[in-house]
Amino acid sequence: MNRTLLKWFLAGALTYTAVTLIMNKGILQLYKSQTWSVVYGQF
Amino acid sequence: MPRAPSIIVKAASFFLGVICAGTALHLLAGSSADVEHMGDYYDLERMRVHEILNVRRHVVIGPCYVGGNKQQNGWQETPTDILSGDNSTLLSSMINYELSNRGVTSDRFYTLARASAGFVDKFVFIKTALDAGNLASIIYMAAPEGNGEAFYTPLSIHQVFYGILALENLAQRYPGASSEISTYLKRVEKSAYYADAVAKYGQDWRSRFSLERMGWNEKLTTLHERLFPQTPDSAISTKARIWDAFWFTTNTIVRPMTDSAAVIGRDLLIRLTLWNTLRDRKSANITKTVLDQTVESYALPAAVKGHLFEPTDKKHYYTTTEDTDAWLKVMQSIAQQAGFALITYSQPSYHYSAQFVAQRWPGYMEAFRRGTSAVPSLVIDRSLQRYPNDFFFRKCRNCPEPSFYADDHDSKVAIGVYRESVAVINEMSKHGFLPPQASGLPKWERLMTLSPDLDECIRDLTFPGQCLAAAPAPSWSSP
Repeated sequence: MNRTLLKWFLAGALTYTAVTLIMNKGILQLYKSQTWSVVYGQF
Repeated sequence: MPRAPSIIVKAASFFLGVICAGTALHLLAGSSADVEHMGDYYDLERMRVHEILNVRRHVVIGPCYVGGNKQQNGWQETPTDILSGDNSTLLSSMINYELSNRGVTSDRFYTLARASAGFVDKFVFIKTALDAGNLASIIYMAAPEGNGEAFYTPLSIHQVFYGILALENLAQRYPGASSEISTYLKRVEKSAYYADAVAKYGQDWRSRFSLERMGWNEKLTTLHERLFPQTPDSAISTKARIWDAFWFTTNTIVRPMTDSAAVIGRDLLIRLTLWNTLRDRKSANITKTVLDQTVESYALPAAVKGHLFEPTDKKHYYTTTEDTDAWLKVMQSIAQQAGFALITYSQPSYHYSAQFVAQRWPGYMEAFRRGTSAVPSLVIDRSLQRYPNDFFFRKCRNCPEPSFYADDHDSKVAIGVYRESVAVINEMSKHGFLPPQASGLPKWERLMTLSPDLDECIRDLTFPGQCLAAAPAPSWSSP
């Protein structure tokens, strides 16, 4: 039982991490490419 | 044998994992968070909100040299990095910089410019400026040799369609101006350039041209407008980005294919020589020699040809007094309805000869004085303030004929534009278009009297061989 639950625990953690990192990378790229201002307005 | 965990327990483990990972990542990120950047972010955000809601907007419109090489960035805002080149040397940026030096935060200047001196497509800018809201004035940068009702290269003939669409939009928005606009539209639709554009793109051009489809970032724009509908923010940034994408594409992909190697080489040479002058003042004499050779071998015949109004390979429709009057009539009507001021500003121009100015300029500026008299208006004529290093040698990259303007990558140019910004601020505040505290002494007084390197002989391009008389030092107290 513990091993099964550990698998699910890790799956959740990895999924969250992966999604977060991918999103952050995308946001960072947007920010660096100045396309960010399309979303948040141009300062 | 242990019982398999239920799906609920598995799901609970999954979400526990999510929460743990989230907490760990959050702590990790938080421990390395860049406090300075966060501070910047909040400052920027505060300024942005202030800008959207509170400032009175003054929009500089005009042909390509108004926007310089970075004309693709429709709205220029670089308040701090003034001498670093690119957008920072635009007149609007310099004015913003000087206004902030003087503690004026209520007014901001913007630039909307593109490679066409045509009157018709200026209405796209007017519409964009009105979309942004709080429009206090339109500053039209005028130059007689580059003004036509439609003045285009084969790449930009379709801009007349955007002008028509913008006018139709303005007619709906301001019914009081609709009769003037429909008169003007009839004039446009009878014109030769409209006929040419229709011949090229077909009678059904309306199915293919719309203001919303001016750029290549249509999807992003649509997404943005759905997320933030009808905000002034979207009006600024989406329209600006549309122009941005459009002109970035034109400048980086199309232009290298259409310009000859000689033209590109000449541009590069002029830019490098000016850059060398900046970096090493001792090399000024060498630079001057090289520059003179460059001028004589490449640019001079073309420029003379341009100023004689005899272009050979491109199609031009030059303005007449009737064109100017018709345009000003409809502009004045829109300004009355929308409540903004019309300001005409002519920048210092080395390449106008005395004869040229005497023959053409007074009547031209008089047309603007007459044509804007029914609304709050001002004509700032700086065309004969010929002190060195102002708009000298800016190359109007997308203009049909080569002409000489200073390149905006050069801080010598920044000095000239800075002087002009002081003059424009003082003149506008004197006539009540800017708050009284805007007028005053320039922050960087030394820049106003800085002696340039290349002031021995400013060539008169319409009459080769002559040197223009050395101009007096600029007087910023009474521009």
